[in-house]
Amino acid sequence: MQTTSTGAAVPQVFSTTELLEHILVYIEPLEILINVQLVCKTWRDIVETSPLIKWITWTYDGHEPPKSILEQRAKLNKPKKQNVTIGENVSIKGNVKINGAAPPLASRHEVSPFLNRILVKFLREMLDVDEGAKTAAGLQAAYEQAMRWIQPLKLKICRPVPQSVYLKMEFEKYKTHLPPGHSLGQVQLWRIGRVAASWEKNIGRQGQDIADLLQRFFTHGVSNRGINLAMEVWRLVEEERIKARSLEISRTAVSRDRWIDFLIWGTEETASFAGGAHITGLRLDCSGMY
Amino acid sequence: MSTIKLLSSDNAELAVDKEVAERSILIKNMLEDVGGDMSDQAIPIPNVNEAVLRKVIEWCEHHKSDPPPPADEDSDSRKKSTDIEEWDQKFMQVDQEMLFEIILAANYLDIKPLLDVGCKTVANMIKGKSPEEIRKTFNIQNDFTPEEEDQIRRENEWAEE
Repeated sequence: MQTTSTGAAVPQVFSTTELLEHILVYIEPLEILINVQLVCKTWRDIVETSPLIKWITWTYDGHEPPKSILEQRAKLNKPKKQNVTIGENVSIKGNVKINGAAPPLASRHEVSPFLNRILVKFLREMLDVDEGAKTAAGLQAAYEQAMRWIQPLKLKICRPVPQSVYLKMEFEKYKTHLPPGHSLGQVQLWRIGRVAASWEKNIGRQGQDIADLLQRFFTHGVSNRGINLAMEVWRLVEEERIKARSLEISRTAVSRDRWIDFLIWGTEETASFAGGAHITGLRLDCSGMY
Repeated sequence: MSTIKLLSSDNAELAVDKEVAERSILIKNMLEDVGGDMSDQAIPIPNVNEAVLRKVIEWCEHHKSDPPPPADEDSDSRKKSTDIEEWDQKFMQVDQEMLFEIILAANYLDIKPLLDVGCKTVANMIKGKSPEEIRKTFNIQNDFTPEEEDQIRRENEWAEE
């Protein structure tokens, strides 16, 4: 076919799968998902079907990378053992803050570039629940709703799939101080003492999607175990309260059903002492890979 | 240095150093197949017209002494850099049709580094643009129904700020 200057080359390049792929590999994964696949059906089809583009955008279902990428990697040295800690100091409190972006891994293992984004969005959705509904049941509903968009994404935490994924959480207690004449919004927080409780769980080989991680976080850190830990924090807070009678302490009744309210909102809204749940670490055991 | 002749799709005969022409893997293999002696016969390049072929030869001449690319180039690392060296940037300042003709020619003639530069140039034209702006840039028809567009947006809501 002869190429002449009639504007034919542009559609010809874009309708050739390998060429469009070759162009798209230079584009950021998020841009591909948000902008590129909305251009037209041909582009969307490439984003949805090309193993290479799916790999780049972390939507590739296979545990192993596409053959073309595997072949490249086979030439690299095999890593011995690697532990990775990411997501340092992810906290759920009045606001969502995640420190420490996922570091690039030394080996061919990569942590999802979307992990932090999804965590923040997930925690925000928990926090955005109406004040009145912020009970165990209310949060459960918000959690289920969040899972409806997270689960179908099938986004892996790390690839290739690590040996195990450990989720570590810590529950801290805080002392608040409200200087005279200041409103509640100006409450100052101090961390007192050490971490009240911490918990680390191997979420196992099956827990490889970001959705699995959030599910473990919610069920173990926020609902079951979380209740006990929250109570523990509260008990410690009570002791502190006795010691610090001089502080103007207002405390709303905390029922078992409203413990999450305390756990999440206590810092800002109601209690003078509060606990906070943090995801303090996510440890990926990549030993024995390859 | 030996010279060979290339015949463009519009029947223009272009003389070019063998070493320069061999930046094209297609031509290189072809010359190897015939034993290297093509001095009296022009090699037909039926997919590429004269203007594009001249442009491609210009690139090959400038890059004739480039070291060969590393054999185990990681395809993942490619996407991380859209840096284009200055000479190549200037070289690619052509109208859009010519840019895409160069990409097609580089693909056909199997000149990977030129293909890379061309694709990076197009990628840079896509970066930071909304779907509508991308369509406008390349004159692409939006063939989604509003419902389909909505659905893709909803599926990717999580990715937006």
